[in-house]
Amino acid sequence: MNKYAITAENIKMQYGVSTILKDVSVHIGQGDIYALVGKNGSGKTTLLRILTGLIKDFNGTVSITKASGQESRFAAVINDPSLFLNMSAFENLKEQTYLLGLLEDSLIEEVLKTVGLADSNHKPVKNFSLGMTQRLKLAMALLQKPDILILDEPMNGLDPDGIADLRELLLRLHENGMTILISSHILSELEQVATSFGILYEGRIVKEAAIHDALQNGTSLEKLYMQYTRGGEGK
Amino acid sequence: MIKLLRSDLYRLGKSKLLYGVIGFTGVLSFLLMMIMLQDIRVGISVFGNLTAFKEIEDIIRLGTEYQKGLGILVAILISVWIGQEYQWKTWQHKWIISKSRTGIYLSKAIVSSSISAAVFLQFQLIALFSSGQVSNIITSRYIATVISGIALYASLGAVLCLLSMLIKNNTASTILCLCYVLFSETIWSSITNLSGFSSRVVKIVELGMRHSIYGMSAIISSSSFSTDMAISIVINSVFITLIATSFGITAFRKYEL
Repeated sequence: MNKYAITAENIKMQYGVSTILKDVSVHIGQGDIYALVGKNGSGKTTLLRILTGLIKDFNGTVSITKASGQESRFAAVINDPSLFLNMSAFENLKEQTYLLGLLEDSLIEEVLKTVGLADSNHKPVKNFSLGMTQRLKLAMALLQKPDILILDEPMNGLDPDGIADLRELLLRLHENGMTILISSHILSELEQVATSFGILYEGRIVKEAAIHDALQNGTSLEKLYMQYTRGGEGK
Repeated sequence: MIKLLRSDLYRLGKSKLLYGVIGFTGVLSFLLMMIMLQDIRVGISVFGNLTAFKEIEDIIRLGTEYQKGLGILVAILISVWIGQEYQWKTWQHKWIISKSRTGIYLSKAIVSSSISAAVFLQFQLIALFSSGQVSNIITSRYIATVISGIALYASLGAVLCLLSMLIKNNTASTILCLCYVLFSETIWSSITNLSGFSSRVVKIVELGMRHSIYGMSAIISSSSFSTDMAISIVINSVFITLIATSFGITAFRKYEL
């Protein structure tokens, strides 16, 4: 039985002469909500793109499996538009259902309701706010009914209500056994949902631990992050 | 592959540009025929070459000359439709759910060739039915012209798909596709002029031109076109389509999306 849903070992990645990832290893347990934190340009998105298979040209190994050892079905929300802006939310999801071979429109209605876009499903995506776009991307990911969900800064552009809704949704998906990998700068939010975390700093994971083990004695994820990136063990 | 095709066709069906092209082609074909039937003499001039419509056959011939109208519409439609995938980085969904690059490319090539051929066929059918002389027009030569034209436009669609898939920028690919359509005659003329230093090179260039999309278009629209030429034009078009698609698949598989 596989303990980890995602295992990446010794990932090295270069863009031209600059090395983005020097030697990254991450281990994400089955059913975990794993928070990937790091400053802008630290390589979070690059790492997520490697894990999703969008980048092929890297060194190291990536394994994404179910507990049974079968290959997992995963979905991702990466920080690019990746939506047809001239089409409506419903049409974007419909196009995706054709790709997935799903024919029932009821599934589209269901995911739109889940992300809170049921009232805006026929509005062109070009008129969406950033928060609505994020919700739609999440809906597209959920349409695949994935075992693993990879989210790159999904809280960007969300208002406080949207963030609270997203938090509830993530916890609900987690309760259903979904493994979630999430990168974000909003550490206080991550602290509320994550079960484990990894701090990416200078091309390496400098700390990887379960939240309840690491955040004892009244410390917070933010303090821990500062400790590992501005001094102390991380250096 | 079927899933990719269905998804591509769905998106094409949602494109306002598609309906614009269909509408414009229909109106162009119908109006030209009506104006000609009213004995009003009009012509289309592209870079100085005037096409005057004196008889029904001139309008039917216009459809086969892709650089004078339909090719421009097809170039805009295909390049914008494919370019939007780069503009909005929507390849990611297809790639993440493990659709193969070969499948992604093939689906685009099939849809591009089909829509290109369909635009030509639409033009010809509207011209035919609005002429009021259906039984006079439908001859073996007319059928050979239409079959050759369909093959020609399918290969044009495959080449435009190749250009659009290899240029990762929506605007740049539209400009390149338009240049390909508009300047093919100029480019072949220039190459022919430059090859004048050797009779052997001239022969090779002429052979290349005859077998190019532009060359085939010139043959189909010429008065010397005969029914027995249709088979070689169809075979040549299939060959161009296969070469363009094979090259495109090879290049696209190496792309970072």
